[in-house]
Formats: sequence, structure tokens, C-alpha cells
Amino acid sequence: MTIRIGRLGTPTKAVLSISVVGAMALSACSSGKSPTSSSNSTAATATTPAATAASTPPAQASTPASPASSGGSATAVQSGAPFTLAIVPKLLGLSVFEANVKGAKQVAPSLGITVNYTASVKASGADQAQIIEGLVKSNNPPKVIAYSANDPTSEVTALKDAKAHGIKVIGFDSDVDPSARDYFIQDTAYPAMGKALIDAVVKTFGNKGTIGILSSTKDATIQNAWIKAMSDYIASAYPNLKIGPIGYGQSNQATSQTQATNLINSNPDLLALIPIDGAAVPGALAAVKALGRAGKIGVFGIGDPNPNRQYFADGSLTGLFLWDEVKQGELIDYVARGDLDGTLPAAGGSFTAGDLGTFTVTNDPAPNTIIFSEPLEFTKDNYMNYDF
Amino acid sequence: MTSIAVDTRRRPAVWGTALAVAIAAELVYFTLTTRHFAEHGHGMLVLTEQFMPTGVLALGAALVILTGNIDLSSGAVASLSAIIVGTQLHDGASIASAIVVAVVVATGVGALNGAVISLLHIDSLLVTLATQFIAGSVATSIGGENPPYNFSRIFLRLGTGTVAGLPIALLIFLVLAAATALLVTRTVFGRSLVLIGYSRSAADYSGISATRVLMGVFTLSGFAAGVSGVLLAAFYNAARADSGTTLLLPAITMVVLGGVDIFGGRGRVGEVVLAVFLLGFLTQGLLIEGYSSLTATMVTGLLLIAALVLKVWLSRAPGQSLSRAMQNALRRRLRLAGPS
Repeated sequence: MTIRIGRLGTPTKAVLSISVVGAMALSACSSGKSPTSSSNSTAATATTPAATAASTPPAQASTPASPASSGGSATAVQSGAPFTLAIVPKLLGLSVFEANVKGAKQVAPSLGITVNYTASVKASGADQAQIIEGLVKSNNPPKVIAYSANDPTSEVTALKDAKAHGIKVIGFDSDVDPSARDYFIQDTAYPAMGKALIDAVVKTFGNKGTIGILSSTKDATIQNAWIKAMSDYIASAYPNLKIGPIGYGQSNQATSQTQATNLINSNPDLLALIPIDGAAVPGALAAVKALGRAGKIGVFGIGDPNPNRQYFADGSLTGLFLWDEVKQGELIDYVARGDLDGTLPAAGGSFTAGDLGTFTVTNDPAPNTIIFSEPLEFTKDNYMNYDF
Repeated sequence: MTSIAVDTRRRPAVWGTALAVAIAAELVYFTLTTRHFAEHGHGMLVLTEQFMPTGVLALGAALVILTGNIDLSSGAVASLSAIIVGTQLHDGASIASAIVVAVVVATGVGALNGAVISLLHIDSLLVTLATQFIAGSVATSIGGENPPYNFSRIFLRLGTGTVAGLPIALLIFLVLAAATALLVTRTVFGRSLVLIGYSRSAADYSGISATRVLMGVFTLSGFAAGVSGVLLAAFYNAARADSGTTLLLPAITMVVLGGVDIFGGRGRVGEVVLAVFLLGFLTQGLLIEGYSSLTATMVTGLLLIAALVLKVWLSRAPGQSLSRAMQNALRRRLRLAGPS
């Protein structure tokens, strides 16, 4: 871990390009056996856009993430006997999950997949577990279940039951205990997201002052990983930046706004707010506007562009990061197909997923993880190109 | 004392029969249409594990609603109990002591509810709304960033184990249900709580200490929430600060579907038990049928409205029209809810 921080702590082109080469070498050596987590996290973090531009590693199709395929021997996921894939996100009606399903349905016919999109009306792990149990016991159970878990534990029993009934289980977006699933599609590498957010703040507002983070709840796994990634990156790269007390908006816009107002009022040297939850983004923007600080305090969030179009237009939202949810939905199909057919490689190996490009299976941060993409930045100039 | 509860005892079990018929109908329907629903009766029994935490919560809610009050905190208290039992187990406490601590704390919150409501004469809706937030926040802070999960196998048997083919959670529920039914029908305390719900002033004039009875009722509701939380943790093999809160409204729905008057004074625990199974099997059955949870919640709402209308129709005087029966019910309600 210290090695990783050390490398990232020197953001010069030379060091970064060395680390890319090093990562390529490491993962090339490691084909066939599980790479250690340190070599792996280097591979995942080193292929940032900056590093790619600096060192131009071998062209890797169009995959943004494509971290160094091991010797070009990636297996291709191909179509086969038709089957049903149940996609069970956290709850019904969230635009990001709708975008996932849209992508999954787009490529489903070409892979022999029928998509069954079902979920609870409430964001509750217990409810989600009941939905999964229902699928397992139904007359025509799906061959593969793809979940995005409300919490890392409540769904474990139900998912293990699905596996016991011969159903393949894959996760995307939000994981559970790895013992309950086969593969997990992680949205983006945590260190890469942390770096992208902080770099965006520094680029516009300088590297001296306080950054206010607005999260959802104290036990939100992914949000905590992002917070840690930002702290780690700041500690190594920008000693004059500091992270103020973290506000928890409880996934509620009004609470988020209150928390954001407190952060702004109690930190006079606040450079930017970083809301990292769907409800925190509009909450932070409302606070900044109400205090008349729009444009003076940056707002760099993690979220989808559709609900934030007006804020790009009026200039209060200075940057938004996510990943291409539609393409991620397509990847769910490829991973489901490959998992069912047994064509996906073990950790360390890679596979190609049609037009999406090549992906590597890693054991970092959790066993059998597939990192989907580098963070995708939405700005006032490109947000109109995405619809989710 | 027996004479004061004539209203509940004389009423024939029309509603219970209607619920039993509905349960039989849904079980037959799901067994015929869904391969894995019954599985020689075994599957049906295992399905009950999924709604036993809600069922236990409904027993406590039934007592509270019979007195004409409401306990909004019970779901959050169940979460608190789940979190406490989980952290206790993780800290190396024995299973017995972890469960005792969790249930005692939950019962304590219930007693606190009862004390504030009965001694300070504050409406139960407001008091339990407040304690709901408190219990939820305490649960969140105890749970911290990594709420406990992965408990010992023996503890998990409470949620998913069986004895002689019967789920342990179901047995716990049935024992508690029998105790609750006996409490309401066979004890002075039980008859007093029904009378308080039927007419607070009548209860006062009969020398019943409403303070003591309400204290007892809310304490029991806290106890039920405590047991419910332990079952939750054992069923999901995980404790979450939000795991119990989603059970509150289904539990209240079960009580109302079970024929308990939301203004208190009328209702049978046995019929609430039937409603627990009716609603529980309905939700699970629809999910297994492949309907989304959207459909399941919608059907629950429709069922509740249909049940409420049917209940008025069944209890109307001979030859009375439905609309006349509705008007009478409304008149009675206004009289009861008005200042006494």
C-alpha cells in the first residue's frame, strides 16, 4: 500500500509512465496465477488519462479501463444457448439503473440473453433479498442473477441460496461479500475516482484550502472507499489541501443541503464541495446557490448528468464524474454470458466483451473483480451527449 | 371485570373465518400455479421465516392499537435490537447474553415510550415518532461504518433453523401469539387495555389505572420489537440500522387487516395472526410468481381497502345497505374520536 501512495505522490510524467510499464510487466508475468494486490492496484491506478497520454501504452481497443491484457491472450465472450438474466438493482426507478438495463437490453439479443428487470420499490437490503428468493423459487428461475446490493450483508443468504440452486451470481455497482457471487463489475477503480475529483478541484481552484465532502450515510461502503481514496491522494500529492469534516446527507436532498450549508459556513477557506451521492449533488448545489457562492465555491460531484442539466447550464455545477451506465449495462450481459458458459478467466486473466474492448479480472479490491471504466467526466461542454 | 369486554367476546368470528378462507384460497392458488411454492408443505413452512420478524412486530402493534394508540418506534427499535445483538456477538458475548441485552434494551425503550405517554399525557403518535428517530440514530451510531454480520451457526438457527420440520422462527411467533391472545382474553390487564381503547372515560370510571396499563402495553411492544430484531439479525445473518424500519408499515397493515379497529377497543389477536399469514404468504407468493414488488405492494393496498369495506359489510345489521352501514360506522367513529 505504501508503494502505491509513494508512486502516486509524485505526479510527474516520467514516474507515471514508468509505473505503467512496470504494471504491464507485472501483469504480464502474472498470467496464470493470481497477482498480488499491490501489483494489481498499480495497474488499476496507473492507466489514468494523464498516464495514458504521457506514455501511450499499446493500443487496447476502445476500452477506457483496459488495464494491460496479459500477453494479448484474452478470451472472447461469445453467444450461445439462450438464457434468462435477472437484473436486480437496488430499487426500481433510478435513472442510472434504467440506463444499465437499457444497455443490457441493447446487446442481449446478440448474446442469446433475455433480460428480466426486477427490483423492490424500496431501497432495502431485506426487500432485495426477498426478491432474489422469489426468483430462485419461481417456475422458471433465471440462469444468472445480476445484483447491485443495497448493503453488503443482507442479500448474502439469498444469493448463496441462488448459487446452491445452480444459478450464477454476478454483481455490479455495489458488491456483497465475495463468497456470495462469482464476479463483480466495479464501476471504476476507487483511487482513480479519488484522483480525478481532487485533480479537477485543483485545476480550477488551486491546491490550498479545504475540501468539503458530502456523503450519504456513515456505513455506505462505496462512498467510504471514495473518501479514503481522496484522503490518500491528497495526503500524497497536495499537502496544502485538507478535507474538512464529512457531511452525511442520509441520501436526502434537504439534509444534504443543511450539511452543505454547515460545511460552507464553518470553513471559510472552502475551495469546493464534493457531493458523492445522488441526493447530495442537488443538495450541495442548492446550498451554494442559497448562500450566493455559485461559481466561487466549486461543486464537483459523483452523479449522472440527466438530473443536473440545469446546473451545468447555469454554471453552478463545475464538474460531475461517473461512468457510462449504458455501456456498463452491456458489460453485465457479457459477464453473465461468460460466467454461465465458464469462459471467463480466473483473476489475472482478461477477456474481450465485443465492442466494449478488453477487461481484466483482478483480486483488487475484492476477489474476481472486473473494473469497468475510468471515471468519465461530464462538463458543461459534453453533458448533452449522454442520456441517463 | 368480565362484563366490560362483552363487545369483543360476543361477536362471532366472522372476520376470522373470512381470513381463513382467504388464506386457504391463496395457498391453493399458489400451490397450483407455482412449482416451488409448496414443495410438499415444506416450502410453504420455510417461506414463513421471511415474514416472522414482521409478524412478531405485529403482535406488539396489535396490543398498542387495541388501546387506541400507535407505536411508530417499533420498527426502529427492532433495528436497534438487531444491531445490539450483532455487536454483542461480535464482541464475544455468549448468544444468550447477547439476546438478553438486545431484548432488555428494546423493552426499555418501550417502557420509556409508555412512561412518557401515560405520565405526561402526550399523544403516542408524537412520542413514538420521536423515539423512532432516537432509536434509529442510536442504532446507526452503534453499527458504525461496518455494521455486524456473519454470526455463528447456532445463532442463525433462530432465523433459519427448524425443529422437527418446523421453522424455529415460526415456533417463536406461535408461542408469542398464543401468549398475546391469552393475555388479551384471559387477564384483567388484557381486558383493561381493550376497554381503554373502547372508551377511555369508561375505563377511568371503572377504576382502571390507564397509566399502568399503557406502561405495560408499550413495554410489551418494545419487547416484541426486541425479539423481532433478534430474528431479523438471525434470518439475514446481518444487522443493519435500517433493517427493522421497513417492517413497521407491513406490521400495522397486518393488524388492521386482522380486524383490529385503528381507534382501539375492538379486535382479536387470533385474527391478527391469520392476517400475518395471509399477507405474508401473499407477498412471498406474488414474488415467486414473478410479479415485481411493485405489484405486490399494490395488491397489498387493494386487499386492505377491500378488507375494510368487507368488514363493514359483514358487521352490518340484517337488511341494512352497505352505504347505511358505512354511515353508521362513520358516526360511531366521530363519536369515539371526539372529545370525551
